[in-house]
Amino acid sequence: MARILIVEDEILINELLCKNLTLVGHKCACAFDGAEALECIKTEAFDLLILDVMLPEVSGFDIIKQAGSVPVIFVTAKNDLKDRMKGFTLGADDYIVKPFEMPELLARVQAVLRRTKRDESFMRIDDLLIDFESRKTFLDGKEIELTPKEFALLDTLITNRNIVLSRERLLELVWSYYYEGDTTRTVDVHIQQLRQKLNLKSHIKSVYGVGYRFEL
Amino acid sequence: MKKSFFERLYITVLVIFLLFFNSGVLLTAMYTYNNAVTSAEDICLSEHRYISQAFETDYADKSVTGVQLLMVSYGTFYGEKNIKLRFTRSYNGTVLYSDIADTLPAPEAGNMVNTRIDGKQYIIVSDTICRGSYTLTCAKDVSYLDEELFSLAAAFAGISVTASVLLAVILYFVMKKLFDPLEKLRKTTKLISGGDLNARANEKGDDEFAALAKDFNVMAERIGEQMDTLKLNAEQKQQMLDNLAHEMRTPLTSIHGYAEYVYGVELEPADRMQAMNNIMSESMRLKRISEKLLDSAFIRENGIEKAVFNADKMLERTRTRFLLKASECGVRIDQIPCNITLNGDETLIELLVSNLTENAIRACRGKGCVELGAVKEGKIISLYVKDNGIGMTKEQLSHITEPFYRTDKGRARRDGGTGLGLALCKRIADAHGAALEFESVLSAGTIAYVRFEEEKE
Repeated sequence: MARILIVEDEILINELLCKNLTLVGHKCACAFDGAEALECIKTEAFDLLILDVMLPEVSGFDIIKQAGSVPVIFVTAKNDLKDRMKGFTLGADDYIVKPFEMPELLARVQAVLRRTKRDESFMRIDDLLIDFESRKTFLDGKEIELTPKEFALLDTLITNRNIVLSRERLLELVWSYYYEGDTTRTVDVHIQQLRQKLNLKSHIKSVYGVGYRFEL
Repeated sequence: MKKSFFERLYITVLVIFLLFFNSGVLLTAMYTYNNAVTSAEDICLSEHRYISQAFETDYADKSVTGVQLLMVSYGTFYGEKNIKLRFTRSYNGTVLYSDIADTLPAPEAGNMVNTRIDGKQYIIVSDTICRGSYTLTCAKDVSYLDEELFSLAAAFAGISVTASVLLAVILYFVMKKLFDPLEKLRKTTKLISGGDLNARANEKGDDEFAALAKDFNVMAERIGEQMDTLKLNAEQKQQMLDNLAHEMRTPLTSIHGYAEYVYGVELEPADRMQAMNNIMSESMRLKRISEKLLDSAFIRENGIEKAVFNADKMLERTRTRFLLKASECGVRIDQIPCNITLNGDETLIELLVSNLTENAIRACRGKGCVELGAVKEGKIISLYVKDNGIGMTKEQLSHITEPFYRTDKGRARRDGGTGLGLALCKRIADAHGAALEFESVLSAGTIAYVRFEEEKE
């Protein structure tokens, strides 16, 4: 769980980000222009800033200069190389171009939080302990061996917790390829493995006709 | 191998010049030689006459012992002077004295022969003397004429070669100098074709090359301007495209995001409705953008159809259409009758006024009034839309007709503005040759004018 400030002048997109990040367990604050964002940074400590570049009052590029050590992800419709370079030069941790897909954004948020150690590297679910750093899982204190793909699947499900992921999407996110023929069976097999090995039957829900959801 | 124009011209001029010069030299040489021959012949004739007279005098002088003896002494005397004589008796041709070789021709009495025998040239003159009793033939070796001819030829050849070489060299440099401006012009064109559009030719002088250089510079100037315009156009188009991409991406992100949200998350019915509503409103925004773009494209593709129409009726229609929206926004909307007719595309001008009215209502921020009308000042007819809303700064005014420019980004979007309205207005005005002008005072209001120039009948 991390404290995230979302700075985006498009109200709908701001709300959307807020809703999704809250769903996966983060706490969000919203700012709709640059001045408001600077005010928030001063009064509150955040683990991550999600910044639009083109903002009324103060631009995203100016806000990052005052963000100090807080990690920053730019979310913007500006896709030219010059702007991306500028973003990274100013110390952005990632740069996401609109339109983006939510699982991608959530994955990148998680990646930045882990890299900057802003989020716990351990997670406890009932008797299960997951160590994201060493990529190990323990059930009742005993280590359970997972294949790299199984762990990646678990990680993806937890990153997108409470959101349904279709088999095709999971293939894309975990196996990095697009749906072809009957390969979605692979997903089902791995899900079965996770449920059995880690006793996660009550958490990994099948959503009929859609896919899977990790409920927490 | 292809020769350059310079080479061709140089060679042509040189050949023509050398041809005429050398022909002249040759003719002069021939004339001189002929003169020499003629004068040699004259000398021979006069010598013949002189010898004849002297002989006749001596012949008449009876103291001379024998005519044959006289002839011998004459022959000997003149033989030493390189003039050979032959005396014959006229009536039977008996040779009385001769030191002329028999191989030489003997012309009839009263004639002269110029002949060449064994590499030597002779002039032979023959005539009767002593009242026709005898015939005297004088032969003179004029081989010196050949030598003269030879030295003459040598001299003229020398002159000819020297002059030709000198001429070739001088001509080369003179022509090089004359071609200099052309060469420079060529270098300039090379510079320009190499990308340096600021290169200019030297315009000094008043010959054809200078004129060409001037024309060339004018052309280069025009091309430069055209390039600048094209570059500017391309930049504006790119800017427009970037903005368009931005404007499309934002609603697309919302639509996709909320669709994902509804699809993937278990939601309360109220939340679900809200998300659906967001998707619909953002789709509408995309639709409005595409409509404005289509309107814009329509004008560009189809041009305009002008007709005379009554401005009052058009303004009245616009007012009626906005009446409901204006009252919802707490804005009063008035139309001032003016009784003015306009020549233009009525549909497009109505679209223009509608866009201006929409902006005016928006600028009122929930209270105020909007006035539509037209005025005629001299030859200018102005439609105007006036509001007492928030007004704009000079900085904002300078940008408002750029596509996707918004004075207040967040607010305009919430109000349903696409950022394309005034860009469209400008396009319509431009298509009519009309000017779109704004007068605005911050927090006092804005007047938008569309100024048409009345056309002469």
